[in-house]
Amino acid sequence: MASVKIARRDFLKVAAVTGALATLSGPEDVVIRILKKVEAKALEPREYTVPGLCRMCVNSCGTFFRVKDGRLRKIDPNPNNPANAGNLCARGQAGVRRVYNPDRLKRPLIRRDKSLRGTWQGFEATDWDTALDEAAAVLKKYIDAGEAKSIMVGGGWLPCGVYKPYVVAFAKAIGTPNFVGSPPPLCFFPKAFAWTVTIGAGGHPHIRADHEYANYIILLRRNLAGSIGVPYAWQFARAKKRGAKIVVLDPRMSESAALADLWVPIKPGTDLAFLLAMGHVIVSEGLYDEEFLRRHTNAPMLLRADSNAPAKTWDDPDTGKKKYLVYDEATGEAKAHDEALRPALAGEFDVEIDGETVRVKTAFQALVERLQQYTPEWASQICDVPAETIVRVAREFGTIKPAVIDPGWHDPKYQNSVQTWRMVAILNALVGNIDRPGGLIFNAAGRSLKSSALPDARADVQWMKKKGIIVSTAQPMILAYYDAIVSGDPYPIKAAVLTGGNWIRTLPDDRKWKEAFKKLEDVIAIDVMPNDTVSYADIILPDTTYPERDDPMFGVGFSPDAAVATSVRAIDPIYDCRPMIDILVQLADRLGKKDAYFQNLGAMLGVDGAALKSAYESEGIAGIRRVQVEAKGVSYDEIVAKGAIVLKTRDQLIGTMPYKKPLGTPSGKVEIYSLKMAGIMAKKGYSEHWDPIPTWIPPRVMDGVGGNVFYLTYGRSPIASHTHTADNDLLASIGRPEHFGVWINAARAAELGIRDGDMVKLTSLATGQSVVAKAFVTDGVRPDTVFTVSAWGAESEELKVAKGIGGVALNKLWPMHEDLFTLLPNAMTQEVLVRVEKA
Amino acid sequence: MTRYGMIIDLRSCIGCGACIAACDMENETPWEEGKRRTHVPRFTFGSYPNITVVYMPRLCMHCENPPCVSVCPTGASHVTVDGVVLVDHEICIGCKYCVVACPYDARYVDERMRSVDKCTFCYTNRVLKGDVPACDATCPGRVRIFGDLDDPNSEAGRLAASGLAKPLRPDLGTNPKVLYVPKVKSM
Amino acid sequence: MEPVVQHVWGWLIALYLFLGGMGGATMIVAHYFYASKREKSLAAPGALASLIMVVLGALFLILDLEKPEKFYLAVIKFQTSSWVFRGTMILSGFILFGALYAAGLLPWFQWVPWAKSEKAMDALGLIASAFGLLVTTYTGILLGVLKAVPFWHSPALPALFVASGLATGIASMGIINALQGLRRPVEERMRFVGYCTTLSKWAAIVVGAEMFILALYYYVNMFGPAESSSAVSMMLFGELRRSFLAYLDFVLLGAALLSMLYHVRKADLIAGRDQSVVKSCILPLGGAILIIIGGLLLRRTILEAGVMTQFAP
Repeated sequence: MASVKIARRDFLKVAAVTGALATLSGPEDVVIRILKKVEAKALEPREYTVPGLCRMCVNSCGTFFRVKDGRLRKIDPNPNNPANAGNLCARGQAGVRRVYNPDRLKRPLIRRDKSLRGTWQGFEATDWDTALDEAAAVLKKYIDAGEAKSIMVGGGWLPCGVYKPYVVAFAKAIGTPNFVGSPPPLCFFPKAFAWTVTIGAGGHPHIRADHEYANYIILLRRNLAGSIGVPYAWQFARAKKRGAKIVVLDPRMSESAALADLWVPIKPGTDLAFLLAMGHVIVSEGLYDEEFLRRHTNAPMLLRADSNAPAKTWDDPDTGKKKYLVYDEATGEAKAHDEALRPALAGEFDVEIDGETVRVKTAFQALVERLQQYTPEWASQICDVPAETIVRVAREFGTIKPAVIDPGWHDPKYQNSVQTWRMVAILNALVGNIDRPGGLIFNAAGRSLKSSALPDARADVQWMKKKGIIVSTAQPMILAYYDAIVSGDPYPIKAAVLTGGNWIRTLPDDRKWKEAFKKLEDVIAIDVMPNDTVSYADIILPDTTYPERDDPMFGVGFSPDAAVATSVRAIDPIYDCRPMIDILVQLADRLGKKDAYFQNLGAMLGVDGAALKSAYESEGIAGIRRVQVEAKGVSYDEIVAKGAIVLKTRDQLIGTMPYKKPLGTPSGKVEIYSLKMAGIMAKKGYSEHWDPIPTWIPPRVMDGVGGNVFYLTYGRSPIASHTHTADNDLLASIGRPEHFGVWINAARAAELGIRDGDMVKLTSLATGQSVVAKAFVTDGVRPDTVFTVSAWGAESEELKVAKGIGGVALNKLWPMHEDLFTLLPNAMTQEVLVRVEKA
Repeated sequence: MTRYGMIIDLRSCIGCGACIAACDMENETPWEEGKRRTHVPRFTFGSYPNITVVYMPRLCMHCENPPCVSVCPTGASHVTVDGVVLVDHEICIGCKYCVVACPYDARYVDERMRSVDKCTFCYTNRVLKGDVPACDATCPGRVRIFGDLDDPNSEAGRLAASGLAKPLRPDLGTNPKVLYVPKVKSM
Repeated sequence: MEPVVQHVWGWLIALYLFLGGMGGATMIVAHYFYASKREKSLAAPGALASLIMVVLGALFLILDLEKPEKFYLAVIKFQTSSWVFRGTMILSGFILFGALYAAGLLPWFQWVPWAKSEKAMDALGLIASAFGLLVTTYTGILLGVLKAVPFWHSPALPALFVASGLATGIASMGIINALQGLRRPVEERMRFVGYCTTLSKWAAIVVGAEMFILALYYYVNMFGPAESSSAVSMMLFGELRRSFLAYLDFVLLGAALLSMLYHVRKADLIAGRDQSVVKSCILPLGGAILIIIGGLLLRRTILEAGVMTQFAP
């Protein structure tokens, strides 16, 4: 580095002068000490950049941290990282203000009076040794009593998505199976479940629309331009520039809708009707890709004509996949799907199965019959969208190539969320766009998913089993922990170690969670910010912000390219804070579980645990990185210089699934007819929620709006990811009224006497709780709907910026739906009506 | 001759404010006082449900005929050889005539320097080092395209030559080097 | 669209524009009394007051600078295209010739060679008055050339400022006249009462002209570009309504007081009645003060109504 060399020269000059002085006067050791100090100072480069990863949201974009005179000055996008490809949003830029936020937790805090939980009173500052000793003593109490599983290790999106192995290794080491990240039923579960049963992958990092090459894009229940996952937003915007047509279904004029060629202000929760009607048009006008359906989906699968159950399926021991029967048009008989020359796509047949003549039809035939009733006119009544619009969108989607419906992001919003996304997946399959350029493609992370079952000892697993809830995928069920804490069901949870997250502000009905957190015997929190939830802790261990720490190596999650990335410490922690991984290791060490921690970690990372431990002991977290990087066979020096290394490009990966490699579905094909759901149906009987062929399910709150009662909808804004980023002065200063307030239709506002900027009171008809926020009066929202951004409503007075913003605390308005668990796990966060009054 | 300018493609602006944050951090603007070099106002036209929303990034237009320069009594406001309008903070006495003279409201007083300040296209801190301005570098929508408007090989030059990009209020006679590609509905 | 108003020029610049306008005009009126009446007792304090006003105004201008200690750069850099620079030249010219002229009038400086020559004094007075007119006009041009503020960008604005400047200049001479009159014995007072009548008549005419220009200016702007019409409606109906109405009230009331005096005095003369001190001196004093306050309010209101150019995509 050039600046180092210059500094070196300066140092030599200084040294010469000081040396000359030393010969004249003073004891030598003093001079040497001074010299050493001068040298250290001189060798410290004045300005340098190191690569990093953004932690302002889960997308983890590649960055460069620019440091001058020991201060982080600027965060620039890192073009080496294929996810954000040299783009960075306002939140990423405002990371600098996260570091220098005076509201941060600055040193370890201990509070002995547990009755003060929920306030900031009674905390005493302490040193790390005391804090860690006390925290370890708390945990030891449970471990020694054989009650380790009554400790819950919890967190938000960071330990859920990014630092999961590092937190899970800790939970396992101290002997508890109860690790809970950000709660999937409140996050993406319904959407991810629908996609997973259809194409074998469905999580945020796993699938995407190939916006960069699509010519027709439909977006629903998502605002990817305004919520800005940069890895998606940059491609979306580029698609628009390239001239792709964009259709957005959204009750409000989101940033994405502002970009769109067609904004469809659809009635909240009725997207499924729109999609079913699109399907109706596409099958009745023959706009589907017949060959794709025949070869790469289970559309030709034979179902019993009377019950729509699969005629016959059996396991293929070679592939581990399900085989099924199709009707071979070449021979006129039912055959295993991979043996037929030309499987029939549509039709009803009488075939012989195991010596018995059975009336069968293809799955596609069943779908066509199902869709018959869902005419555009029918949907028009439900969605409040003209039938012509539905027909036009369907025809354009079926004829403009390549076309894609975006796979969504967050959707635990309605009871019909699962079937909504099933229908989106099926529509994409109908036009044959799966894993093709401009279609619905897999991110690198979605191409090799391993499913793992949750351990039976978990409180949520036992709880779900007891209630007969479908434990379909390995998804922690945080809502079960409420019962475990409050009523000891299925067994008591007595202590919580929080590794981020803000449950008091994010889980439905905050009153219940406040009660639960008061009930816990011990709460230890590791966090950066003094958020609402941290105020319930007894011991607070302050985490560093991301530019203040080294990170291990991660796979890049949100890119079609396969890549690895890391983050290099730019500056020393400006307060007495420590990185979460160090805190967890130091706690494990005090409990005599350090070896176990690294063994667990090694197993999860696929590297040798002992090697991890010794590397960590000599180099800290950078040592973990070194071991990972060596195991991956990439250059350590290269990754810490570039920040990210692409291992395989999109072009090498795309077009393989399901064409060359089976999908992660039971049959390995795109499942127009879901065998997974058929399995649930076989076990639990019929429910529209797991009908293997999508069917219309109305949202629960279709009726009841009018007067001052509105549908409640919410979303993200470009200046806030979630409560994690709410306390940022730069972002707050950039935000406009629409980012903080409650959107209310101009005509309706006039009726209610509400003017722009007035304070309005929103009362949830479900919880009875009220919140007060500023009205944003606009023509950009349906007359029957209010909208607000989900990051606000902080109650912690230590969050000075966020508290000043105010805004809606959504989880005061969300109920914990009592029958939630009879369905697929889904919090149904928009199944809420609110009364709006002038405050 | 280099003629630096910027094309702003309104078609793909999502109003995310990344440019604002990047500028504030890069240039250490007095953003805490609400003074900054770039803004992104939101415009709504029409009434429900037929509405159009446009986000319109605003910054110094780096005019060919800059009113701020001609009204400056000390020559502090000046134009570089490559067409960037700058303020020399040493010479600026802070009469603020340029602030009022700028039709694009691009200038403010930086109390710390006791001088008028404005967008510099990140001239000394980035452009002279071969980089693009911080707002362009970060923009997820590729809305801001900085470059030499006279260079037909640059994206900015091509867009400027295409006639697709238009100046704001040409009637003012300022001849801006920041040009806007308007937002048009294609269906 | 919400109008955006210029926010960098406040009271100091309003005071500067006001004092410049009033000072420049005061010199003209003062010189009238020397040139046509050889009335040094008015011309001398008038020229001095004019000088003080302009210098004070310039001082406010300097105080408004972010770096007042570097104000000299505005002079020495010789940026001829800038109206601020041109203004410094005009101010310098005015201060120079105004000072020379005032010196010739003031009793303490009678030793200066030109004090003796009425011809030289006439010439100096004319030059000083010309600069006075330039100063008065310039305060309007400074704003009038700015295209960025469409409401200001009009030839009517300098005209309005000149009219208002003249009105305040006449008023300031009215005050001087009243004070001079009050100081004299009754028999000498008659002369000043006569001057007062003249000044009152002028004030009425100039204020009338000012109102005419104002009405025209507002009428045209009302139907002008959006920025201008919103500036006008801010003054007529919006947040500037109070200061605008105060300006109108002060100026019109002031002019009314003066013209009332003019008519009372005429009637008295015809009836051969005696001139009371109150009628001849106190009344015009009050009217003049009102007009002067009105002049300041006008500058302030116009500055506050500086709606910047608006843009829509």
